[in-house]
Amino acid sequence: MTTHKAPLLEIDALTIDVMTAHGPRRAVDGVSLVLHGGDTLGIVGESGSGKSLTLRAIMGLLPKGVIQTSGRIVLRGVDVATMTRRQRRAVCGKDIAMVFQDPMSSLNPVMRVGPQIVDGLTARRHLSYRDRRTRAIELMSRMGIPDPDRRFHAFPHQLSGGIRQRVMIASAMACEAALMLCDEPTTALDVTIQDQILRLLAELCEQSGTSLLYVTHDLAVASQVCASINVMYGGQLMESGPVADVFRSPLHPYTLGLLGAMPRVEHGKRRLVPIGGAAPALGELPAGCPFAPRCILAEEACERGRIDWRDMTDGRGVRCVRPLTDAIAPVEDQR
Amino acid sequence: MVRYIGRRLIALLPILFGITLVVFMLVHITPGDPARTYLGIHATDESLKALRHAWGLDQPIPLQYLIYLSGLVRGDLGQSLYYGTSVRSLIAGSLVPTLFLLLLSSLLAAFVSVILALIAATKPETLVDHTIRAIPTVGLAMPTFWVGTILILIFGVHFGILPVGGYGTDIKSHLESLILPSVAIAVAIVPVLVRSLRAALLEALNMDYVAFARAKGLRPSSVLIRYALRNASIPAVNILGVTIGFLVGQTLVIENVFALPGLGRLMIQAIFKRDFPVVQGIALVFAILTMIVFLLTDVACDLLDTRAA
Amino acid sequence: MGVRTSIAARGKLLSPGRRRSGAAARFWGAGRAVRANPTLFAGVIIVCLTIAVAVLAPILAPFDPIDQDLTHALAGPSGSHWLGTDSLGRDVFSRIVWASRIDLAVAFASVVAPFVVGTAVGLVVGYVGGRLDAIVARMADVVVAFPVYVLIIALVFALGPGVASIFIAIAIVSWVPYMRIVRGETRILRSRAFVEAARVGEFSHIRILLRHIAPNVISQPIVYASSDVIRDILAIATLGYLGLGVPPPAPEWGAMIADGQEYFSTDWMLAVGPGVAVVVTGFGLALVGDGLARAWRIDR
Repeated sequence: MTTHKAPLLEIDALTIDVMTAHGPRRAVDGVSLVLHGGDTLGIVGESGSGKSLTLRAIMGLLPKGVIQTSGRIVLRGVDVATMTRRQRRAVCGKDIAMVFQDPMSSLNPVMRVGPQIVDGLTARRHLSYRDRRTRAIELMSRMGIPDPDRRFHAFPHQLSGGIRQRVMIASAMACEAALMLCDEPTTALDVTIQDQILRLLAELCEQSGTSLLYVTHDLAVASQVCASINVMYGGQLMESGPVADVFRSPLHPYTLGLLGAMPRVEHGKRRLVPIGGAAPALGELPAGCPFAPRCILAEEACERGRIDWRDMTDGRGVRCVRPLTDAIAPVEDQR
Repeated sequence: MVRYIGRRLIALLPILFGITLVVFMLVHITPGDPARTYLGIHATDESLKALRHAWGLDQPIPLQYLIYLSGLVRGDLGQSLYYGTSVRSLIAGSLVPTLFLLLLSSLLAAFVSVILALIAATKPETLVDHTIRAIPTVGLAMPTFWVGTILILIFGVHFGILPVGGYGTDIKSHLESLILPSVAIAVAIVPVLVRSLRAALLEALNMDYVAFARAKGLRPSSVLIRYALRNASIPAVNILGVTIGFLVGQTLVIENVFALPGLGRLMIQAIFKRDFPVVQGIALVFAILTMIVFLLTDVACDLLDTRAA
Repeated sequence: MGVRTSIAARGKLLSPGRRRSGAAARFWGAGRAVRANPTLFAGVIIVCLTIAVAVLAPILAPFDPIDQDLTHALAGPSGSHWLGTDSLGRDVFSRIVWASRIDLAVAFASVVAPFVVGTAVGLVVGYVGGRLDAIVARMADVVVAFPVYVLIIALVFALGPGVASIFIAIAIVSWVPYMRIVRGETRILRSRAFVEAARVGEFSHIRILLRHIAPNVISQPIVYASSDVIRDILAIATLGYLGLGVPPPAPEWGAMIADGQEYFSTDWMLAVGPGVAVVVTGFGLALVGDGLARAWRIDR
């Protein structure tokens, strides 16, 4: 990891509001993270935790009625807020590429998939269409799409979900961007295909030195492709650190809960311990720690006000009044 | 493909049957005796009888319809009472200016609507958008023939740069004489098209694939044209198809404003000469024309929308 | 919850309302909607003004609309003839004012029959479905296959000149959209209405139709009717322009425009004036339609 250079991406206290009929509602609340060249970073959280909006904000693709109210997004040392619209657009596809959640709705249904991949070859606009086509087909075969010559001319609806997602990743890879943003690209797929695609993605990123910012609700998926993870809840970062450390000894009760909610085979027995309660709806966040109402360890201090972020050793950090230590008992005993 | 279009054509047969029935019945809903109406009150009994026989009015009505239908199948639309020639040749002689006008005005209307809808959809909720969205409200209230007369007043009479009517004798003068009529028709059609097109474009622009295309770093113009407009074109062609009846109706009126020698003018002239077979024939041709265009746009939509194939 | 509350969700005007019931609620609801809805408000004002002009025509018009005065034919605007006189020396302003009576009356009256017939047929056909539905749908297809005006013109021609022919021709052509709108809504509501009716213990089809379905679908044809009046005004004026409308010498906007077109180069007011009257009336009605659609949240 090259820490001496300016980071590839730096997000500082990003805050995003969603405009609703009842006024603005905070969806992302002071999220900060740093990503260096070659890093693979995961953002894990339930739906509504603000993880996808964070990604879209980086791309400047926030949906209508969603507004970044404060915070900075810095790309290679340049604050995107100071960029002109033209510069901002030039970042898309050149420095950052993005893979969306649903390949069916993210591929144009009335366009053949080949030209859509060719469209991603923004860095190679100077090449002839024939050359770009060859390049696109090459990318398709690298993504493990069988018979790419024929599939080039297929429409999205003629392909299976797995192939569609490969097409979309190929289309994003085509940009040859330094950073790839992924918004749960494998949620819609079944487990074996998900596994294949994750492997491919990790492999391709490693080969090309592409950094990865991977958003998912699934800790296991994040652990497969990312070196370090950030856990989000209710628009705030709850915990961050290297994957192995977070898995071995989570610092935040929410992370612990997520680990418990993850199906695991341990001691030959499958266990699945869900977190009690439901994730808060937009705009129904409590004053203090957003997780407090569901937290089994919550105390008065948790509800009093905003909880500060604490940097810990080994590049870890947590937002909790009373971070867990190794002394805390294992999952099943807490219930 | 051929089988698909064949199937669609067969589905139209009952409607075609209904159209011929309506057109046939036109003569029979006329109060009193059509022969008497045609010949006037001073006609002799013999001449009335002869005319009734010539028109087949002395036969039972179902038989008359069958005779009419068998004529249609042979391409026989009857004889004009006024001109004495066959209705088919009269219609054939007037068809070209009408088709030319239809083509020109629909191209113009589609072009203007797409531009306006693009502007409105890319700048939603701005002053421009609101202005463009107000067009249907104003446009709906303007009678086409009045718009036509105003255009004549401004460009024909006041500035004198375009012909006030007629069709000219060569291609250049044809085109010149069709400009104002096409504009008048476009003024009537654009309000209908813009509203739906804008909605279709806005919907397309909010799709994930547009966001994905932007994320790939495509130029906004390519995103707009290759991703949004292309997808919005399906509902747009559909709307054009639905509007076609309205469009044809406007040409009928406008031809009479600008004295264009097309089917619409022929129809109104035939009405004043109480030339029943010509009116019937033109109504039939208009209906079939509309049906064909409607079918074509529908087929085009299915072809554009690859998912339906 | 049920069908009745679903209209409450659709809009304020038709919601039965808990505090006031029946006609009172409708009246108050309408009043509130007009104030909260500037489009509707402006539209209602324009329409009321044109109706007032029509009603007060004998007072407003300085001259008799059919009195000829050939010595003053084609006189330009003056103190006594504000918009001048036409080729027969008739006062143009008076004719425009009197024509509003004919055009508005014929247009509003032409909406009634298609509205009633189309809504009733749509309700029945949407409720019963089956073969009846298929037959009516075919009939509608046939009518719609004819371009706008072609069938109306052909029918007026066949039926002979006169206001009655115009009524019949418009009714035959324009019942179709009402039928289609109501039929679609009825089909959607049918199953829900059954549930609701069964809960209340009603098993008569007619009662289900009238009490549970009709009140919920009626707002759509009403909104459509507000724009249909415009279409009818335009149709009547177009027929008049083509010489197939209300027989002369009665003043009618379309026919006046046709007359005026001949004297374009000298007296352009003859053709422009009546057209402005059509546009203003149509614009007011279009605003009412837009406003109603917004108040009832109907997408058009």
